[in-house]
Parts: sequence; structure tokens; C-alpha cells
Amino acid sequence: MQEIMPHVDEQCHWWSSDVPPSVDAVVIGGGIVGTAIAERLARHDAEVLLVEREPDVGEGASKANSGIVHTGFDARPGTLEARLLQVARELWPETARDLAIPLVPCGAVMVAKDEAEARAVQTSILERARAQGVAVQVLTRDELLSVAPFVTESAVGGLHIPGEAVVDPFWATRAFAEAAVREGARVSLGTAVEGMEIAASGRRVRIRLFGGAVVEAGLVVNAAGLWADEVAALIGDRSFQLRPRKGQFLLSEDDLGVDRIVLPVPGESSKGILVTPLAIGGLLLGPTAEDVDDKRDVATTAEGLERVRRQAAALVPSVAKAASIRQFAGLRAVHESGDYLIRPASTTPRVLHVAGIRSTGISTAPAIAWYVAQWFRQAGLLGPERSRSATAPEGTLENQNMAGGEVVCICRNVTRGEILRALHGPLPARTVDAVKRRTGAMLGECQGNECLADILEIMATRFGVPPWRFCKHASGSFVCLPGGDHEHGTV
Amino acid sequence: MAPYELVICGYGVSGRAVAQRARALGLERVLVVEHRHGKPSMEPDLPNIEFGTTAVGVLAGDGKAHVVVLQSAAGTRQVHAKRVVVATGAHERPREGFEVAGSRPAGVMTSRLALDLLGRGLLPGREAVIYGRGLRVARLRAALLQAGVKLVAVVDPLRERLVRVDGFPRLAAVTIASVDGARRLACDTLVVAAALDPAVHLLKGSGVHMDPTTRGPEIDQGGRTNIPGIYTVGTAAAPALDHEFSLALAASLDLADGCGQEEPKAAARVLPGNGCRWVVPQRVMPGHPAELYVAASGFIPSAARVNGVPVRVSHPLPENVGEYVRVSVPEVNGNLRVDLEG
Repeated sequence: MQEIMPHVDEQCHWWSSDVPPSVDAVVIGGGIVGTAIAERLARHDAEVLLVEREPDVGEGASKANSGIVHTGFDARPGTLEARLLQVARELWPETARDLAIPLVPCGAVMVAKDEAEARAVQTSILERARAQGVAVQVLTRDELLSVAPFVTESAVGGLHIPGEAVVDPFWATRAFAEAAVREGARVSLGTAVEGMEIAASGRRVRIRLFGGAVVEAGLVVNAAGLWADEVAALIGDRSFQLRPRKGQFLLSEDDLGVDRIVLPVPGESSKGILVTPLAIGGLLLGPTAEDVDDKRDVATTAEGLERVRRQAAALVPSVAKAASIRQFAGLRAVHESGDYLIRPASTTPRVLHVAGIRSTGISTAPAIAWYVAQWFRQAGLLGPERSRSATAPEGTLENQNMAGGEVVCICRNVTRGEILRALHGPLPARTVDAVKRRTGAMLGECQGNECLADILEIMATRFGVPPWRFCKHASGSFVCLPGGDHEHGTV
Repeated sequence: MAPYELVICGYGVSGRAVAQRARALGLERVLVVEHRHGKPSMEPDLPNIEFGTTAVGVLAGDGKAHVVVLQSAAGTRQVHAKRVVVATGAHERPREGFEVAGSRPAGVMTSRLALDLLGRGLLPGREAVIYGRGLRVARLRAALLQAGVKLVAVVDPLRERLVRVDGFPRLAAVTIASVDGARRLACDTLVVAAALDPAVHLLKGSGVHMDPTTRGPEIDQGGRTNIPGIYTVGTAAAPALDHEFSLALAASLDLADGCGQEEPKAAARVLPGNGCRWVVPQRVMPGHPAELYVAASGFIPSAARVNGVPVRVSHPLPENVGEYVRVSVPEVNGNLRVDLEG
């Protein structure tokens, strides 16, 4: 009987990260907010370094959400979130155009299930929409069922919000990150921040990174998602705390004719469980809103998934029997104020926290980036903006499926050429999930089981690294081990 | 160029059987496309087989021919065919398809992926739980043991249910539940081989009616879909784990009609009743006997009734008695409802 060769090194960080010793700005966190900020700061001609702990951008809440670009019609007046949602309504269309991000203006309907909800729609919700400057139309039951025949017949009325849109969050995060690199920023993946201190001059911040490298910067943006409070503590600022609020989702590819977002009348702490068409196809049910203790608890639960399906079916009855090809959960970073927390560190104005971005991070990413840049401009720490230097290369949807080459992922019709393209470029995919998010491969019914072995081989050839060094997502998530015939150990 | 008489999508168990039937029927201008790579056929007179070519779409023609969209290393092209047989098979339903709660770590896969990795000299992990049954599980067990992977347990989905996955970034344990309670098994690899789902993405938008219980096309006893000239055979129509019905379906394929022709009225509907997950074919001809292929929902059936009348039940694989049974109806008089008993 063969013995299993001991796996000497399960660390999936097989690439070297070149970190410059000194830059103008460091952005901590490669979610959609951090990448949007990096892209913006780079256009102010700052030398930017984006550091991300995981092996790819978008590994936190940015990959586990409904992908909605909210108008902010229901935002709490007077909050920073509400203000940035207004700014974002102006910025998203040009951002989507410049970065070739598919933005689908599908609109939304809110469904009132009883008279009390119908009254709320006609009063408080309508008022709030008006205060936010968002165009909405109250719908009678007949009008609702005429525009959205898939909605429950027990609805008594609703609201039409035509400006709501959906975007693919994977695509958007990757687009911001690649655009940042095109504008001159550097991105270092698999690079956690381990220490931060103010240099003696008071004008520089010294950051110690995983692996021992040290980088100095004049500006630091703390966009570390759920961990922004822990990053703040590194620089001696313990003034705020973030708590995780879990959202569970079910994904279906059944064609139920749902062509716009379906919302319930919202509750106190969350928008509720929605039915959302995805920008790239498919239907998303969820999310729940559950306060949890562990910042790493992204497990789904049988109870949560059952609740998602039940409440989604209360809006759109046909989802009760829909086949789900995937279920997942993400964590919102919640600050007790319920609002965004964007302010300098208590110990130095050179570090700006961008924390508590919950529920609407996708929607406000370009606006947050603008806000951060304005902040540093007004502090005299940043030069003026220039326009984007080059528009995105031809990565539009229309020629994604027309690329030459044999099909590797049958479920999603992804060719070898498309996979190779994801392994090259300004921010090449280095993990299995990075390939998944850039190409759509492995997102379909078989969840990658039919094509993963082929994809590992393509990756191994491209990078000159054996297949067992590739992670699925986080460090340590090896997908295979060397067999008895393979040499083990380092490459 | 004149349309092909027949295009067969897939050269697996069923595609091969249909290709041989086409030769026996004397059909000329037959094209077989197969996604996987392979060697050209050694048998003379077999139709033209294109390996490394994937049928990615079918556009139903209204008159002379259907269109099959093909993708290969050379690019995209379209071919015209009077008849299209979908023999694309089925893929194993992954953990996510069973809606198993918990984390989403590395180390969870189907037997297809486990065998794929083993075939390339790689190990799927160190300590494996198999959730599945049947011949493919026997094959998998042997391959894992030969590679030196520790087998923690083989869990039979007809007796116990997989309810939770734990561990991150790599799998650490799975939870199995039955009437006797739940147990937790420490492992770093979970291989799921419990159900198949038809690989019929190419039919999206084609107008072929799908059955939500099989997740594949609805067929009649001649393998015809609702569109004349488009047929489905094999596990793409009847997704039984060990191909229990594939050869029978290929043998009963009725290739007489083609695109644009009037299909014979197989007017009686067949519906899955108590204890049935699915029944194929979904339409049968009244006044004739019918062989029905049935998947039970989570148990091994010993008896069946059609419209309340007991009928003969047989297990196609006596060496692997399981949830898939053949039910024989002596004469179809109208719509049929099938009920199974354990």
C-alpha cells in the first residue's frame, strides 16, 4: 500500500509580493470599497499601494451580497450613508461606462402584504424617497401585478423604484482593482497588516506587513471591512467596535421570469429578504440579518436557509420550489450607530478609517472613494484629480462567449482562452475562486466539479507551479495533494 | 451544404449506442460531437466523431433543419441537422445541489472530481467520507484505497442524510443524520456521489420542455421531446446514478421523424406519485404497453402501483439494488400515475 507523502508546505502563497519601501498612500483592504478608493487616489497621482490579506481582492463581504446598486430611497435621512448614496447615483453610471462594468438598470418593486404595510409605503417610505430625491411611484395591487406578474397575488399594493440596479460584485471589485493598477497603483495580495506606528516626524506612517516587509506612507486608508476596528487598534485607536451581522443567501438558475428586484416593506435593522435577479443571470434569495459573535462565521444554517426560502416565497411564490445551485453567507460590518464611520484615527490625521460600511457598500463605493479623496484634498495631503487615463480593455459581455478555444467549463460555456486571460493581465487570478470570479467558470450547476482538474492544470502550466500549491480561496484551502508519484515539498 | 441526417451530442454510453443504431439504420451524413478529447474511432463505418467539440446550443428549426451551435479550439460554428439526439449525459449533483448547510471549505467534491484528480496522480485529500452508493462508489472506494487515502466512512444516502459541513479553510468534519440521531465524522475530504443532474445547458432557450423532477427534457417512449426531430437519451433524460436505463432508452429511440414533421401523438401523461422522485418517459402512447423508468425518493422500492393497480417492478442492476426501478405497464389506457412502496 502506498504511503501518502507528507505535505511539506500547505501555505498557498507561492508568489512573491514586491512591496515598495515608501509610497504616498496605503489602502488597507481589497474589497469593493478599498479597490475603488485605490483607483481614485491613483488618479490624484498619488503612489498607491493596496494591501489585501487574502490571496485575492473581494474575499470578504464584497463577494457575498445581493449586488444591488441601491438608489437610497429608504436611507435614514441625515446619515453619511444617505448622503453618499445620493452622490453615488451621479457617479455610478460614468464609473460603469469607464470601467466597462455591466450595470443592469432593472428597477425594483416593493410589495405591501397588508394594509398596514400599504400605509407605510404611502407615508413614511414615500416621504423618505422624496427626501432623498429618488423617483418612486406608488402602485395599486393591479398595477403591481401588471408590472410584476410573478409577485404574490395576496399583495395589496406596492411601490415602483425604477432607479434600482444590479451589478456583478465580482466583476466590479476586479474592475476597480485592475483600473487602480492601470492608473499606477500597486496591489499586494496575501499581505496582512501586522503593525502600524506613526514615524517620529509625525508625517509618515510605518506599516509592518506579513512576511516582514515594512512600508512607509504619508496617508493610510483603513478599509479593512469587518477588521477595520482591529486595524485601528494597531495605531492606538480603540474608539469604535464593529460587529458582524450575517446574511444568508440561496442562488437559483431556474427561469421564473423575475425581471426586477422584489423587496418587502423593510424592517427596523435590515432591508429584509429580497428576490434579486443577478446581472449575469440567475436569481438570488436573501439575505437574512443575524447578529453573530465570530467575524469568521460565514456558515449557512438549515434554519436560515429555510427562512430565506419561506420569506422569499411570500414575495414570489414560485421560488418555493426553485432548485438552488448554491447557498452562501456573508457578514456585514456593523457599527452601533447604524451609519458609516468615515473619520481620521484618534491618534493621527494621516490614517482615515472607512468603517461600518454595511448594506450599501456596493452602492456607494465610487462615492466613498470620492469622499476620501475630498477629505485628503481638503487636508492639503493630496493633489488634484485627473481623468481616467485609459478606458477598460474590451472585457464587455458581448464577446465573453465568442472567444476562440475549446470549452473548459460546460455549465457556463467558458473557454480555455477566457481562463488564460484571467491568469494574465494587471491582476492575474492566483486561486481557484479568483478564476471563478473573473470568468464565471465553476459558478454553474456542477459548481466546478467537472472542470476543476482541467483548470488546475491550466494554472499549473501558466505559473510553473504544481497544482497542489493552489488554494481554493483563503490561505490553507489546498484543493489537492501530491500523489505518490509526485515530488513533494517546495517547487 | 445539405443538413446532417443526424447530429448526436455526446459520445458516452448512450451516444455510442445511438451511433451504432444509426449505422444499423443506414443513416448517412451523421455527425457525433464529444466534449472530451479522444482518439478517432477504430471501428469502420461509424459516423464522423469530432472530439474536443462541445455542443453549446440548439436552435429549433421551423422547417427543414435544426441548428446546433458548436464550440471547439477552432472557434464557434453552426451545423444544420434534420435530427438532433441529446446524449450529453449528466453531472453528479454537488453538495450545494443538496442544500447542505455549513461552511464552504476546500475538500468537498463529487466522485468525478476525486477520480479526475486521482487519474492525474493527485490526491483529493487524506481522510475521506464518501456520501453515495452504487457502482461509482465502489469504483471510487477502490481508487481512494489504492492511492492510500484513508476512508473514514461510506454513508448511504438511502439510510442517512448529509446535513452539515464544517471547517475552514479546509474541511474538518461532516454531520450525518438518520432516524437514530446525528453523528459527526472528522475528515478533510467529502466525496458526494448521490444523484445526477442532466447536463442540458445546451437546450436553454431552445423551447424544449423540461421536467422539473428530472431537471432534464420531457420525452416520450421513442425518446422524442416536444420538438419534432429533437430527442434525448441516456442520463440526460433519466438521470439514474449507474446508467440503469441508458441502454434501454437508446434501444427504443425512434428516429423515423425529423425536423418539421408531425410527431405521433403520445398523448398519455405519466406522473410521479407517492414515493417517486421522477418517472421517464413523461408521455406514452395509449393502447400499447409501456416500460417506465422510475426513481424512488430515498428508499429501495419493492412494489409499485399504476393508477392503483399493482404492476411488475424490477431492479435493473440485481447486483446493486437501489432506488431506480423499471415498472412494466401491460397496456396504457390513459394518463398514468405511479406510486412506489418500500
